[in-house]
Amino acid sequence: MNKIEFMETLKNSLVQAGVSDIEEILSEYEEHFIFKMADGFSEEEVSLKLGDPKELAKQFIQDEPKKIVKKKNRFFTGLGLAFLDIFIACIFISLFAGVLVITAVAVSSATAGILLITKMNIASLIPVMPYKSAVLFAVAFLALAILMFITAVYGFMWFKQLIVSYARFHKNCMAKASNEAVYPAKATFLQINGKLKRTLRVTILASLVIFVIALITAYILSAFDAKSFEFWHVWEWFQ
Amino acid sequence: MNIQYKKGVIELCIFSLLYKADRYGYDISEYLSKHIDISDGTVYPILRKLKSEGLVTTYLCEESGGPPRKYYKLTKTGREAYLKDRQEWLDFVDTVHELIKEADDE
Repeated sequence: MNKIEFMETLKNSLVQAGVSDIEEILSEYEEHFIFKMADGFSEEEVSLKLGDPKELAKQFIQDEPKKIVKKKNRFFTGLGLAFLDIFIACIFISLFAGVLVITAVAVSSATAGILLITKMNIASLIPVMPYKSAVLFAVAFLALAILMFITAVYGFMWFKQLIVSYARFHKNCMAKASNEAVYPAKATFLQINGKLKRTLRVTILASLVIFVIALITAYILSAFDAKSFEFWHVWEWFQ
Repeated sequence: MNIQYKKGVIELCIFSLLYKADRYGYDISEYLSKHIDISDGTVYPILRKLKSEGLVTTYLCEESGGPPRKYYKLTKTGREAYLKDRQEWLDFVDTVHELIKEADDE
């Protein structure tokens, strides 16, 4: 008897016997064939050693009053999960919006920085100031852009991890309800290796420090130039 | 040996294997058919019965290269059931041994 004949006979006998979860049983024997044949046995040898499929099918017959309970279980778990999905979807959407905002801040800071440093003044968006103040403000903006960009990337990665983790949880809940085997849970926190993590952390810290220093220096310098603590009034920024 | 009789003993053997460590179906089947004269396929119906009785649970483990393997793990009830069955078996074997010896002496 080859593998196909064995599996067919087993399947038919199981169906006849009214056994439930036939697919799960079949997959176990399927796996057995794969392992055994990897050890160099022929299909005929494997099925001979497995035993008569009709006899095996009989051994799967048990009292099965659990079937109805199981269906009920599946229904309620599915219903509960559907409500949970709606709730989780709201959280995910807000999280995603948050990450988008951070990305937008990163992009606009980078643009402002580049405009300042290259003396390009598109649509007169950049207010009047001496070039050395502009350069310092530009450095502050670029540092902020890097900071926000890394935060956004972190955010996106974490977001993805959360979705994967929730999907796994969802799948496992249904599997548990129908008494099937479950996969190990996925982590909800980020999986970044040590070296990359250190690099990112150092970059974040450095850009934060540069941002603060550049901003303060720019303020002091501008205040000196304009001879006023509120230099923006002297340079008539908001008029 | 009588198949029903054997099934009970195999159940005990599976328990003892799982008591030490989690194993996947094929692993159990291979191990037992090496030591006991049973057909390889017999283990799976027993595993399923143990599962439906809540004595073992299963979980999937993703191996590198190849489909995920289904591991069997003893539940708390399963562990308790094993320790009880084990003692019963040992007592039973002792009694049978004594009975046989007495019969031989007569």
